[in-house]
Amino acid sequence: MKARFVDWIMERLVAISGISVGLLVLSVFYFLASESRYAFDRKFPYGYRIALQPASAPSAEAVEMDPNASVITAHMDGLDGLDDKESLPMPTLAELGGVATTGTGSPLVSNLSEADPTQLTRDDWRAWKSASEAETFFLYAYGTPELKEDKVKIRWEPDASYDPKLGVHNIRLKLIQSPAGITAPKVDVDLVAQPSGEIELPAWQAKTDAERTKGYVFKIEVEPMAASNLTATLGGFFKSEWSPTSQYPKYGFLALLTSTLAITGLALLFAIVPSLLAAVYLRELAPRRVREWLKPVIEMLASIPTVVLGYFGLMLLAPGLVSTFGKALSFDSGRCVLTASIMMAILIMPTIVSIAEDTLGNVPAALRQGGEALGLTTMEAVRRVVIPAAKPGLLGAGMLGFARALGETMIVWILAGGTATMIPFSPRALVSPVRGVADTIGIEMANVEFEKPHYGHLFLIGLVLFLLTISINLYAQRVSRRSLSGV
Amino acid sequence: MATGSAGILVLIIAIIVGTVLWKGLPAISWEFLSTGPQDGMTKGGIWPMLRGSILLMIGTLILTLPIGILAGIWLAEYATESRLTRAIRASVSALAGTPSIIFGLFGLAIFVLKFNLGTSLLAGWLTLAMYSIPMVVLTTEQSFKEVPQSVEEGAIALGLSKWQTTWKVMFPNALPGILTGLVLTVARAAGEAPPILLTAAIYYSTEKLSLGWDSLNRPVANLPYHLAEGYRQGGVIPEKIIWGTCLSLMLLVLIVNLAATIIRARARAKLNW
Amino acid sequence: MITSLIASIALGTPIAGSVSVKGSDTLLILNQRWAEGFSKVNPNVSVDVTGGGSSIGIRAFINRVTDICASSRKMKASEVQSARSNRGVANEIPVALDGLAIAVNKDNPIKSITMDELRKVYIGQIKNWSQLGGSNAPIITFSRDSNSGTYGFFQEKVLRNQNWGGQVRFLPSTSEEAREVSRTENAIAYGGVAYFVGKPGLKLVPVSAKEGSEAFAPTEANVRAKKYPIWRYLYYYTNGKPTGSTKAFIDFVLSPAGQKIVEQVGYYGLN
Repeated sequence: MKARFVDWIMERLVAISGISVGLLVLSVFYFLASESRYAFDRKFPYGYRIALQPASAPSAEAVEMDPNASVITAHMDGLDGLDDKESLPMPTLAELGGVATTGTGSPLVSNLSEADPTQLTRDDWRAWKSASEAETFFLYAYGTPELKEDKVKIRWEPDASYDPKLGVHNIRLKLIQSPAGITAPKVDVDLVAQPSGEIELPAWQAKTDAERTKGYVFKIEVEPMAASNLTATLGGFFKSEWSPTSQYPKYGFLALLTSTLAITGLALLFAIVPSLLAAVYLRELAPRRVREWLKPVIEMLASIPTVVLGYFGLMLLAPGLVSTFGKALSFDSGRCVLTASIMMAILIMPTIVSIAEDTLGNVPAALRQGGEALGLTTMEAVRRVVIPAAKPGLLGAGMLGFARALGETMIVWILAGGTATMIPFSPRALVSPVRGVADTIGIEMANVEFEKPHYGHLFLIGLVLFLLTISINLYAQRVSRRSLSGV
Repeated sequence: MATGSAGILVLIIAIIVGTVLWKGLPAISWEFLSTGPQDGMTKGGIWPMLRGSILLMIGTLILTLPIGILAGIWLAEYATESRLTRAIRASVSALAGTPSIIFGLFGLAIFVLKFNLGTSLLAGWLTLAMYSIPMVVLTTEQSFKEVPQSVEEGAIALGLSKWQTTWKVMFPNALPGILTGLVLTVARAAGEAPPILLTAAIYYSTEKLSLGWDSLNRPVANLPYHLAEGYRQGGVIPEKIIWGTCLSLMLLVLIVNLAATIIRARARAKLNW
Repeated sequence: MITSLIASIALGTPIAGSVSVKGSDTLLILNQRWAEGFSKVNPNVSVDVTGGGSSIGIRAFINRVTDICASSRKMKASEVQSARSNRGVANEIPVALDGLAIAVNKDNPIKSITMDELRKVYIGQIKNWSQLGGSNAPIITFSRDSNSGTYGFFQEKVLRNQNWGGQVRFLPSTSEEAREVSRTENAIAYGGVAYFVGKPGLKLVPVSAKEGSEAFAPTEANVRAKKYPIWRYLYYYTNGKPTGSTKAFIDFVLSPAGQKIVEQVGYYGLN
């Protein structure tokens, strides 16, 4: 009775453990995905300078804006200390046609007599908005009494580090009011399609502070382009530039993925042939006693912590490569794709050898003997009979090695150079410094603000890495199973 | 050529192990292993890191042991072939191949932030246990399957119940394989830096290293993290200490591995199949 | 901790307890040395030092899992707010002064550089030394990796939050940068002054705030006088005014002995 009760309890316990372990994969997926949601909270920045200038003012090169200038939302909240410049008499909404606004730009100069005649009015304008948010605001433009010319121009340029093509908003600049008695040309510009340019206008001077709002009034309309923040964030994710800490953050992860694939692919290339040959030796050629100690020794390599391998690469392999090939390949630092992939090849070799050796062992002895009966030598039998039979399993071994390298953090972190740019499609790729997916998570997670878009994106790339390795592993399993059942 | 390849592999191992030994041995002494760092990490030893790694390893072992083995038994003996069990088996083995940094992220999201454990030994244990369990499940299942069918049939013929057969007959036979798998997995976990980078690690503490319940809430220094920081802080920790740490970590893992291999060999020799 | 504190007050013995310091990697070495120095005076207080980055420290502070947050940047308004709602008023204490030096190879003829030129070099607009009055050779730029507070500070202060140019190489430590600069003729790098001073093969370039204004070398006097343009404070944050063992530790940090350690490590003391 008692024994049966224990049986009952234990059997339940065993089943619960089994199923909960099965659920583990779902919970990992769930938490990665759920933390990734912060990626989709992101706001998309845009930054332009729009200025009224005398017509003869030289056209400047790309502008670089004062980073603290006119962050419109902060400006309105008075957080950036620009409140003193907002004491202008603003027209009421009704006077402007009752358009709803979320922010209003203002001339940078507040005292007419202080104005610099070469840059009469201007506005540096930068804002962060979610992809579904709209924004409208107005810019008052006028000349001061010092203005000598009878023509002025409205000029617009994107901030030097802002790429309008990567934005997710339609932005239009429109002239909605001209000073009394002046007929101005129509101004209605798409700032995304035409990010910089200028249009001449007849000059008009504000004689007093109060008159400033009676001059030209421009309206800047920002409207969502993408369907939602979700699609816009994903759109940004599948781009190649990763610069999450800059003023105009970019979360394109393709550069990271490409680098990881390059290092991993190269590692597989270096590792596959020697590993398979070593597996053949172990299984087919080595005397039994040699095999018995050799296999554990090779598996021992797999157990050396990767930090140690990374250090070995940094202290010996990297300087060694530089002093041997530095001149020929003209590379200055040993931290590059080549070094990382060599070390990675060493890391995955034991995995491949071990699995490949098992696969070869699963080939039925009858097949092998059949080959030998036909008069083939051992090596010929291996080549013509055993390897073709084990082919799917060997492929699976290679894929498992690939998956192992894909997620490796420390070796890439220490040896690859850390530059998150796209790997060039040329032989220079070998000696370029790069950064991969897993090490980016390790490097950056410590310095992000938690539960913010950058944090969310690190989980998002983690999720991609997770799904990638899972699919490769599952596929490799299927392939290997086919190999066993097929023969 | 095949022989040559195997030779090259052995040569690579020899070079790496040899270099670490050659560079690391001069640093190692009883002093180095038993004292803490001094003079701004430039002198002294690595006892707190060694202790932390051993603590992490023991806790992971304790947490992994029951659930890993029970789940393995379920898969091997109880799970009937169905779509569900196939899915579970596939997902466990896929999880076994999942990069360790993913478990670091997972541990950060749940244990450190959601359960608010902070960076602590406990959070490190849980994270490393998550990392280890899938592999232990697989090796347990494998070890059960390696027990010859006749053993099980014999037990059932003697009138033992399913669980009694599993526990009294199959388990002792599978035990060597299970233990080896467990120890190897935990040793591998102890050598990994990414899972504990964000969940358990501390750079330095002046505390007197005592052990108590409170230790669970405290972060621990450990060998892989010491190496990662040594790299990150570049030049602060002298090269000699770094090589010494490399060697200690490698030896820790290899000694545990060796122990596992010996256990297996001994136990196999006793079993009569 | 509380009981031992009460005991120590009641018995008049030296204080005991524990203090945790967590955060900035820039401050890590300093924190560690302070902890070591402090434990010699107060062996009964255990001081835990963890790095990980300023944000990790701030988060831990907000979540009440560290007594002191070490940060190489000021807390952001949103962080101050969540600290207030979750914990209490974040009390900011500057603990050291840091100047970032610009290093080039010793054979580089360049005499000085402006902040604006520096920015253009690092965002990739200036690519050749001849544009800065040097020889006709490409500029090889080195930076710390994004792990370090120094990286964030340089991006904010010098790059004004713009993107790094595609050719910038990111190294894990300032001593690695020093090594690369001394052996690469056309290299430029930035980092804490102390890591560069006395290293062979490189020289420090004076920096001017604007074009036409005087360039200053990153000497202690110039950094203290705020004449040298690339400097910052390093901060501790505590929950309100520090008390007990936390106060004792911070008192030590700000004491002459503590500030002497600052100089040894290579930053500048507060006085």
